[in-house]
Amino acid sequence: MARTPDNDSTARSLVTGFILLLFFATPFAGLWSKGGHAWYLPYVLWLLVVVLLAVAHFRGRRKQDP
Amino acid sequence: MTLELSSLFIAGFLYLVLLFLIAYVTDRGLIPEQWVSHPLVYTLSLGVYATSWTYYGSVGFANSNGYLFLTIYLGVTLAFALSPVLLRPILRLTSEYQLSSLADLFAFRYRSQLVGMLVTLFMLIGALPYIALQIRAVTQSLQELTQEAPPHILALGFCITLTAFAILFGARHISPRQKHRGLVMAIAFESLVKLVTLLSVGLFALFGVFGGPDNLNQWLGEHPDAIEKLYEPVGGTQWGTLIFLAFGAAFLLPRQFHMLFAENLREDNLRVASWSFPLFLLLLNLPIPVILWAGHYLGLGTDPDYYVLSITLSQGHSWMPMLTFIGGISAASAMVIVTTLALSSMCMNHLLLPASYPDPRLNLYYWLLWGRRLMIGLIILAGYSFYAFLEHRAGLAQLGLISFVAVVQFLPGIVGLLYWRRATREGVIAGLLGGIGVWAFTLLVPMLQHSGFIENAYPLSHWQEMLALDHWSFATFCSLGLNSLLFAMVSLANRQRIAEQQAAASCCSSMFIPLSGVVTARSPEEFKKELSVLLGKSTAEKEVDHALNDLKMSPRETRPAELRRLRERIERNLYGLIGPQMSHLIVNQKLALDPEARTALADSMRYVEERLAHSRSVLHGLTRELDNLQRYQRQILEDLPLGACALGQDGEIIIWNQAMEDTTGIDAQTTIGHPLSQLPEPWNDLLGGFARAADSHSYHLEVSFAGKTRWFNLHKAVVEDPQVSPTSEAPGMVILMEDLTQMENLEAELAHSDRLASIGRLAAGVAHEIGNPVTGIASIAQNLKYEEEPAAIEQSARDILTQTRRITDIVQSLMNFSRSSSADRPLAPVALREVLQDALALVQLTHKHDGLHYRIDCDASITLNADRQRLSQVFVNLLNNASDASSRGDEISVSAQQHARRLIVTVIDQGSGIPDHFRDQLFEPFTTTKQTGKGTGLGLALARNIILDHNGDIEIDSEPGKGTRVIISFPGEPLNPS
Repeated sequence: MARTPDNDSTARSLVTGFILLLFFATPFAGLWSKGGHAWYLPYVLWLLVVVLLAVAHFRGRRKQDP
Repeated sequence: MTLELSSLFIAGFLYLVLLFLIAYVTDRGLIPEQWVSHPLVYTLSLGVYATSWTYYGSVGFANSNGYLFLTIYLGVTLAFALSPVLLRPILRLTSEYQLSSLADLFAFRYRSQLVGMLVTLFMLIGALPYIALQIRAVTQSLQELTQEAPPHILALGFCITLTAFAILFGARHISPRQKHRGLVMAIAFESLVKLVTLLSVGLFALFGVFGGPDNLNQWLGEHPDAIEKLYEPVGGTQWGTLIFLAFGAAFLLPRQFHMLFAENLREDNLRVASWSFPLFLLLLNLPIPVILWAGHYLGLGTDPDYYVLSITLSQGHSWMPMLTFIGGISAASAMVIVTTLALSSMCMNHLLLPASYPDPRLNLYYWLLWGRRLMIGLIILAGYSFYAFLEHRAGLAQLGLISFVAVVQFLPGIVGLLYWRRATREGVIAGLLGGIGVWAFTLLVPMLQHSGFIENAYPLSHWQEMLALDHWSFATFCSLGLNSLLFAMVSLANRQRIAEQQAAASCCSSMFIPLSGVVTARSPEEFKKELSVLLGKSTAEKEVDHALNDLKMSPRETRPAELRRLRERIERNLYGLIGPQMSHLIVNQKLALDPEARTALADSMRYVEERLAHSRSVLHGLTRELDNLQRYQRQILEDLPLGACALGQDGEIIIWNQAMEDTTGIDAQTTIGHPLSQLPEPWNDLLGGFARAADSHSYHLEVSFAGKTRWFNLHKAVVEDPQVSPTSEAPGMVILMEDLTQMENLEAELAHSDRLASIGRLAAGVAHEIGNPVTGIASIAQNLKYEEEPAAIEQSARDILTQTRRITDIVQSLMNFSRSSSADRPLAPVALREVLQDALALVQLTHKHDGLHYRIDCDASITLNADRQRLSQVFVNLLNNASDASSRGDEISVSAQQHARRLIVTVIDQGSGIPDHFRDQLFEPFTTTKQTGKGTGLGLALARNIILDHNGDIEIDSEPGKGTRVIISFPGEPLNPS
């Protein structure tokens, strides 16, 4: 089946949601919360998720544009 | 440093006046539309999520629970990341069905007024602590700034101002069709103020308190426990629970649902918000740790919930405390206004209207509008009462989280709504009652006990320890666990009703399934009359006119399928006005459907095609492939070079393809939905008559249209609707119309060409035949010079006349034959023997010296209803072929015999016959056994067509070397020659 831009965008968003869960709601959170990291590390991880969501959106939109 | 209460009051009042102005100029259209509908405005308006809890309470939350405060926003980010499978489907449903609240959505899906009522009540109970939280934050901030307890009248004044704003700008329109652009713009502005203020306070803390990042890092180096404390709760039991709670709250809180879905102008705005709103929240939370540390650095003794105010105040800054206070007002007011609006709509549709439906003589619009305004006032008053009773015994975060746990009780219902068709109203009611019961027991009662309302509450700590869960996780786990279990078990134990099944199909598949049946009201005027009984005359008229306008439908529309669309549109428009269940009841009662009427296939096709066109972008997998296939097949029908017309079971046209449009000059839009009998002349008789006839095929039908004659072949086939019994007494039908006009014209041209060719071949014989009398006339004329006897002269003149008559006859025969003929000449009785003799005379001109013997055996009384000239051409062609194939001395006979119902004409020759390999293509044009230049190959093909036009038949029986027999039969009784 041909993949549509909307499907691609949806898949990227869902993968990003999974990454967010991985970073913040799994034992993986223990890795970055322990060990005396910089105070802004959670914000950096959060920003990464936001950037991935923005990329998913813009790539989906570029493909939709003729 | 402290601020004067009066100056804070004036600043707060002026700020609210500014909000009024922004909302006013937007509503007046003074702000360009592209700004109002810009995704950034939509994103900022979603910032209503960040209330006083975020603005003030995050610092206090961070102080007590470290980075746990981030979970409240990480959960939102997760919800927006899952937007394609969570938020966008809800948005499509709410915009498609004009559902303005979560209660509307639940009532629509589960087809139950009780479900809507429960959702409204639980929302109300869950939201009141949250509204109280906002009022408390404002009064507390006043206390922090003035160092004196503000009088209750100030909190009341704040509530009254918000009520006025909400009424003026949030309850301007009663229908969700009309968006509150002014309100959205004002809320977006408030979010901007919150963001700018909080970032300013963060920068102030960094540079004004610490003196820059280096000093902050140095302080952090000296106080490593400051960062360690922040990281401490990460990954703990509360961490996951709060992410989950925030995930639900992101779209289930009344204010979030309202801004996300009810005030959404474009779906694309939600796509942008899927990343821009989490970014907004990130920026909003970035300064929180710095502000907290600044409070610690300064050694402030105040409540950390209000460090945002205290650090600016303690440094004696001139305007920062005021700006921060305004930011706090923004956060609180936006939340109260939007929550109240959303709740007021829910209360109207699901509590007030079902309890006391207004008298139809009243104007329903005014009743609803003023009812909603009254609700706004009552809800804010209830929030104020809650605030007054609670006093200051609960933290900001506690109040907010209690509301969060309340709203996540709707998660099982919403997941079932989107993804579980089997979910039932009984299941959702049982789940909600169970969930909210546990919520009240584990969170509300302890809070009331803490506030002193009740003295004893059941101790839960023992249970919490057993499950090794904290307070919030325990309450969430127990309430949601019981809720989900009851929802699933009770749903499976109950049978779904048909209306619920249809709503479930609409919600789960994005395919909007139409109901079956025909509306009993037969025109828009009847719609108005019926609806006016319950809606009142003016409301009914406006709603019907509005729906007609939405569908661009004529007020004189009577087609059943179109009236069904009108009914559906009215019901949807009423969803937004009086709620889905009330609307459903009214429309079902007053615009009842006749389920016996057979329109299922026709309607389904129209609806499904319409819906597919709308929701094509959301189709995936097999449904998308099926849609592609359906479109391809539809295109085949459209591009078919034959006219195709399909009829539904009730005889109305459901397909009218391009060729049909081209042939008839009637476009599909005009015909679809109408029966064939309503087509203009002559198509109603032609197609309607054929549809009623028993024959499946009808050939060569002649139709006069637009001053021209046209010919058609018609074919039809019965199409069984797979949804109904195959033995249905009125199945559907497909009619194919083949336009023969071009072929007829071509044939006429070919016939003329063939005649000309024949004339060419006849020319030598004609010349010779004419030459003889001319020679005779010349001889007579020569002798006439010497004749003196009058009698002899008279005889000579007679001889000349005889010869000239002979020439005239020959020329006349030739003229008759060569004259252009058209197939539409009327038929007339013709004496067959005369035709045969004429044809033979012409043929003999060419074959006079071939030594052939011709014999005609035809009774002079045999008459045929025919076109004489075309019939003559048949026999000229056949006799020519026979003569060409015969040898000297052979006989060519033509006999005619009249039987009871047929006239049989046989042409027999003793010629060379037809080779076997030619027999299958004898009647094909340009097929000839003659040498090049001797025949065109059109003779037999034309002869056959002419015979078919006379409803006759032709057969050829030939044996190579022995001769050929051509048998022609014409229908008809013997005619009286007279």
